[in-house]
Amino acid sequence: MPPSKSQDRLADIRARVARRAEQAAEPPPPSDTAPASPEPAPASEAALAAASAHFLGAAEQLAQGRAVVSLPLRDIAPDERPGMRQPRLLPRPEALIVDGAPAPAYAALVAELLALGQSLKERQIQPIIVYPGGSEARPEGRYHILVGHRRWTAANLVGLAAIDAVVVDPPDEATRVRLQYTENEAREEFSDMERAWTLVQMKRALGDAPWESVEAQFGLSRTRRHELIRLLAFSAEQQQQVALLRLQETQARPLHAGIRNGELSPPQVDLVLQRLAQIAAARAALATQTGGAATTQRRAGIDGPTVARLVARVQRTDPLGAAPASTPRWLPPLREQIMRATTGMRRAAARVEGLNGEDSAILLTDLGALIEGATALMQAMQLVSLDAASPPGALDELAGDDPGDGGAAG
Amino acid sequence: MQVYAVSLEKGGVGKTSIAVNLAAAFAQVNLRVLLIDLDAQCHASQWLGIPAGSLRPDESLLGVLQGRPLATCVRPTDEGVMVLPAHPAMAGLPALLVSQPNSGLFTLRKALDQSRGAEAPFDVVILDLAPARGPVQATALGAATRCIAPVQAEDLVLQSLKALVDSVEQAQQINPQLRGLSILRNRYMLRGSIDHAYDEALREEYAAQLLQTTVPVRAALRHAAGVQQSVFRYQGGDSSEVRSLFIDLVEELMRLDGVV
Repeated sequence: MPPSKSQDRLADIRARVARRAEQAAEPPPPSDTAPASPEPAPASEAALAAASAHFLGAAEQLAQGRAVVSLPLRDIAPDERPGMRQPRLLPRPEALIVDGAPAPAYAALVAELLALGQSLKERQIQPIIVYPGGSEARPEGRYHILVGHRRWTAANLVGLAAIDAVVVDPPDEATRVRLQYTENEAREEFSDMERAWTLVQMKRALGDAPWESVEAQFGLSRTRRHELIRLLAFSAEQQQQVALLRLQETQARPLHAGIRNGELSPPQVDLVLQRLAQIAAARAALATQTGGAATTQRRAGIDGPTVARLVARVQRTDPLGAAPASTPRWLPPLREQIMRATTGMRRAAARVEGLNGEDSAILLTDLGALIEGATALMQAMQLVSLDAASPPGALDELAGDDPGDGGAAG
Repeated sequence: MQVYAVSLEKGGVGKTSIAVNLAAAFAQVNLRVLLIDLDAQCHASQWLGIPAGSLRPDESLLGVLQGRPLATCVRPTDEGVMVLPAHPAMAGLPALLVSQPNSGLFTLRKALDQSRGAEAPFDVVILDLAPARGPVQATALGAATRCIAPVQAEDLVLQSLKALVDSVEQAQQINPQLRGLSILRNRYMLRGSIDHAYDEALREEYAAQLLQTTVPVRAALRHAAGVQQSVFRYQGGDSSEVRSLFIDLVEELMRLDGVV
């Protein structure tokens, strides 16, 4: 059988390869001008730096050329000095496991961390990044964590004795915030509340710089920064809750909008957050039972409509929650009407020349009614404010504070 | 020694398939081929007959990083190519590379240079990469003489290609031996008008880098992959046509790189 076309071709290429090998085996012709195998010129410092910046992540760049060492867990602690604390919700290991069981409030978080701890037991893929330094709270800590709080916490929970780490120089505050943000930003479990904390920390780290500079640090739009900062309307405890629930800003909008508009009192917000925590816990428990992925790290069970529904319900069924200090519902619309009317009247003042007699008379009647209404309202308010400002006995107390009389009373 | 890095940050474009079949094709023309599996998922290693979990971490590139000579870590395969297999522990390779001088940019190149004087020198080295930017991609492009990117006519693939062009340009600044990027249309099939639009964009924007050889969708390629063989070992269906395509590719690359 004659050889096929493709076999011919293969034979041809093989022959060429063989010829080339023979040529290579022969000693090269003597040459004074060019070396046989010129060494490539070493890359410039600038090119190396550019390549590192291109290929390496922020944390990798920081760890460049530094050896990975195995450090005892007890020699490492989070940095808890003011301004140096990582802007994330991650309680201390001892707060997560109480009397050998996960603290109920952190059950879901503990489950995640235990899973991470198990995988660390098998193999630690990425070393954590630490810098030298002890703290008052933890004098035994010789290193503070820069990147890897979750892995350190997880290693503690599963009882690892040591962890792989890279030791770097202590970073300045802005570098620390930026690095921790870069490391966390891509992670699914990083929540908007934590982003808002990051922004506040960065603002302070930059010497209370204007928001524009803070936005530039993170490549955030003005709108997005505004949205995130709105989450600070929650009280400190509520912020912890929101972070624990990993509510995104859009999901939490009915809640923080209610606070900012004075339509929700702090106890009402607490009630809603409590209920959300129950829902999240129930979904997590269900997922554990069925072994399914019903909850992701974003807690998919809680969405914007759920929050909006709970907010509406608490406003309807729990008016008791509305503390006396909160703004009554009728006030904002009334104020808006007054402001609109005031602006309208100012504008009309320049245009009254053109009014005919009939229209003028009607308008005057209207204005009279307005003045009457305003006077009545002001009188009512003065009565109330007098009562509020001078509770019974208040004047007596004031008198008692007078040094002349005070001495006599003693 | 030609060093081909098969790379793209997007996954699922057929990097491992191209790496294995191209390695086998180079072996067909009697060149000494080494495939280095740089992906901790070990797919290329398994394809070349090395079962997952059958080796120690230091029998992979991790061993070379610890100072073992490359020649002692490579092993022969039924495909006629040598392989430096991967190990799942290579998930920690990025951190290890970063701790090396120059973030490990030249680590692989040095290992390959040292292998030249050893017993098993290679004519062609093929690097199979994971779909990610990072220190591993950096050390691969720091050692490569050419980067090959398998692509399909898809938006996400073209976006990834743009990123790879940047990466190759960066790497050329530190590796003057890197001749550039070659784009290989792999599993290429234009179905609708949108595919044609992407194809046109590819041909316009990357005319200079586009390889002439195109690997279409072929059952033989899928079947060969299914039984973990290269198309040169797999006997059946339209495998002879696909074999011929990979020989075309070998010829084209050898011509580009002035080998024969």
